[in-house]
Formats: sequence, structure tokens, C-alpha cells
Amino acid sequence: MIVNFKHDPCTRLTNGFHHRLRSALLTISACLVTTVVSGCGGTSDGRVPIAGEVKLSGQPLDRGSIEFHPKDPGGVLTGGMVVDGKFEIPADQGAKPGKYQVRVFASGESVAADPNTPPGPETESQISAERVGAKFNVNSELEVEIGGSGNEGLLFEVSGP
Amino acid sequence: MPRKQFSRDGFTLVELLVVIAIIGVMVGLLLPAVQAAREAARRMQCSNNLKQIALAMHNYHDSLGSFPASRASCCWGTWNVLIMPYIEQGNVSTLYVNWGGTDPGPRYGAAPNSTNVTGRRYASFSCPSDQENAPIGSLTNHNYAVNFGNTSSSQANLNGVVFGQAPFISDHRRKVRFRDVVDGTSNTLLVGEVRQGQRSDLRGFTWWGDACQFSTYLAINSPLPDRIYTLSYCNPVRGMPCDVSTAANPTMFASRSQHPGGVNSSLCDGSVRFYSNSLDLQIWRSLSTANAGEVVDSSAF
Repeated sequence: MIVNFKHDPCTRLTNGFHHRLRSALLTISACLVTTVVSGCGGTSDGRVPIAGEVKLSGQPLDRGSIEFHPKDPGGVLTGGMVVDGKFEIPADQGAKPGKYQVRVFASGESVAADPNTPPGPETESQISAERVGAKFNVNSELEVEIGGSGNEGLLFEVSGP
Repeated sequence: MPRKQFSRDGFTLVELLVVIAIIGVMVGLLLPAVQAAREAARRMQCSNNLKQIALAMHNYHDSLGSFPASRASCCWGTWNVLIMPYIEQGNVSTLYVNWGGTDPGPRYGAAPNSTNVTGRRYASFSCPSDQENAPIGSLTNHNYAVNFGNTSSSQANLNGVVFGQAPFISDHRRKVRFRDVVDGTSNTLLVGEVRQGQRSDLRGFTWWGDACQFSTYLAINSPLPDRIYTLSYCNPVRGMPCDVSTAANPTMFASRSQHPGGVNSSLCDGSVRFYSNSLDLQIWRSLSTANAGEVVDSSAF
């Protein structure tokens, strides 16, 4: 009982199914790829990266922090740690373009505490001395203009009090 | 002739490859989604903990007529112990001795407090998104800190920022009541999140007076360092910069979390909200003050 499958409606149905399956698969994969690609893309609300160096009395500042205080409305206060003379603020934490007052802080030696005993009143009232002069931080005269695409390679030279 | 019946049976290699590719892409899409859902669940559990703490403080206020004290100096107890009876840990809190006392009695880190209370971990004080740590012996770090206002832990004006009062104050003998939150309970933060310092880092060491609080001088998850009085207790890891306290940058801790994009925080009215990293610093500081008279635009957060 050999049947001519060429004219069997069932076979034709299967062929048509394959055809539709193929085009459906292609459409789905195209959609998925579009979704995945369009879903990638960071936003930083118009913030731009800042990076550069800080020197204390001519030497790279080993450990400290740098703050950018906005002088124009619409600016955002930002900053970061300075490690071995360098700082790097990525775009998502960066500044919006505009004029900024720059403050550089560096703390001195800290009291040594035994990390195995809970802190008590014996040591904790002591605070460290500031190594950077007040005219570079709380009364800072340092200013910088942050451009539309961020500033790399800034250099700030500060001195002690 | 009969061979023809097998000619279109099954899938071609290309079709199989496309199917495999689609499955691959869908798994690739689904896996991060599953991970994100797990983090969303942890964040929800974390905000629920904040809600319970805020409710406990309301119940404390109902029973005793004021919010709990923040801390008894550095070492004789913090708010965590005071609200324990209101989060079903009353049996533990009765074992804490010398709250608000002085030195001949045990401090927070000495026996019997260390074995009965501060050497244990409490789920209600731990955010499941963060890594647990016991920085000193068995004494534990936790994740929730009370709002100390817009400057530092010393609650004084700082570098041009005027201290605007806070719902928690340093002196444990002074009581703060709802009526002292003049800016409004729905405009003032009550309890916020901090991250647990790892190894010997004492951030999140909320049994200790210094670390039981956070302030908003630093922005949410700030790239600027938290300040602690010695580098021995500071272990800067990614997202947790820290440095030594100075006169211009006294001891202070920013609100930080491991949740993507921001922190949970409860307001004095008991509501818990998520605050984004990109929240304007002025608004974040205004939210922390209890009596500064600012207008806080609630659409901004």
C-alpha cells in the first residue's frame, strides 16, 4: 500500500508548516537581537567624567580626596578619592559641565588602634591634622571649568597649611 | 518513488541552529532577569526590615513618649538595644546591662553584653543584599543606622552647611518627640541603610555609638570617603571609600547599599522609599533635617 505522498494533504500541510516555522523563527530572532542591542546603553544624566592628578608640595598626593563644588546653578557636587596622586571620577558619578570650586583634603597620620579590641573613649576623640592648606579646601581659590565632554588630565598643585 | 516521502522529514541543520541560537538568547535574557528578580526580592526584604524598625520606633514613642535615644556616648549602648522589645527581641534586650551607664560597668563589647547581645546576628537589622561581617571577635556589623542630620556625627555646622536638627541627637538624655520634627514626619528621614565594613572595618558596627548613625553631608553611595577616626578600622572596598577624620571632615558615614542605583530609607511617618543615587544632594540633605524649614519637592525623589 504505497501512497503518493506528493498529493497527500497532510504532507503539504507539513511543508507549509515548515515554511512558516522558518520565517517565524527568523522574525523572532531578529526581534530578540533588536531588543538586546537596544537595551544596552548607559545613562549618566548629562554628567561627564573628570580625571587628573593632585600634587602636594610638588609630590603626588598619596592619599586624600578631591571635591568639586558647583558655582553655577544646575551643577552637581561630586568628587572622589585621590590615590597615589591620581583621581578618576567616572561619568555616572561625574560633574555636569560648568564652573566648579575645587577642594583638596588630605588627612595626616591616624591613631593606631588595635583591630582586635572594640573602640572605646580612650582613643576615638583624637582627630587627624589636615595636610592641605585651607586656601585649597574650605576657603578654596582653586577653580576649574568642566567642559561638555569631561576633563581628563587636570592637574592641581596644593601646598600645606 | 517511495524515497520521496522522507525528503522533507525533520528539521534542516540551519533550522536547528536557529532554534538553538534562540534558546541561547532567551536563556541569556532570562538568567539576568532571574538574578535581578532575586535582588529585587532581597531589596524588598531590606525595605521590610526598615519598615519594622520604623514601626518599632513608633511603638516605642507610643509607650515612652519619645523616639529612642541614638546612643549613650561611644560605648554604653545604642538605639538597636532600645527597640528590641518592639521587634520581638525583648528577651535579648533584657540581657543587655549598663545601657547609658559608665565605665565600671561593662561596655557594649564586654561580657556579658558581648555574649548575650552584641555577639549575635539579628535578621531584622541585616540587609540580605549585603555581606555579613563580624569585625572584632564575634561582635557583629549590621545594616541600619539612624538619621543624624545634614552634617557629621558631631551635629555641628560644617564647611558652610548649617546643621538643621535631626530626629536623633547625640545626647541620649535629651528626648526627641514627634512634635520636634517640625519639617514634618513625611519630609524627614528616620532610619537609613549603611553597608557592613568587611574585615576589621567598623562601618555598620551599630552597637558602637559612632557607627549607629548616618548623615547626609555625603551623597547617597558617595564617591567621597566616609570618615572614621583611624585607618585601622577602615578597609576601603569598591563603593565604600573611607579616610581618617579631620577637623574639616569629622567622623561621618554616608548612606550606602548594595542595591543597584540607590538606598532604601524610612521617613519619620513610617513610610519606606527607595532613593536614587542621582537624587540631588540638596534634597537629600533637606530630607535629613528635622527643623530647617526647607521646602522639599516630593516629586523630586
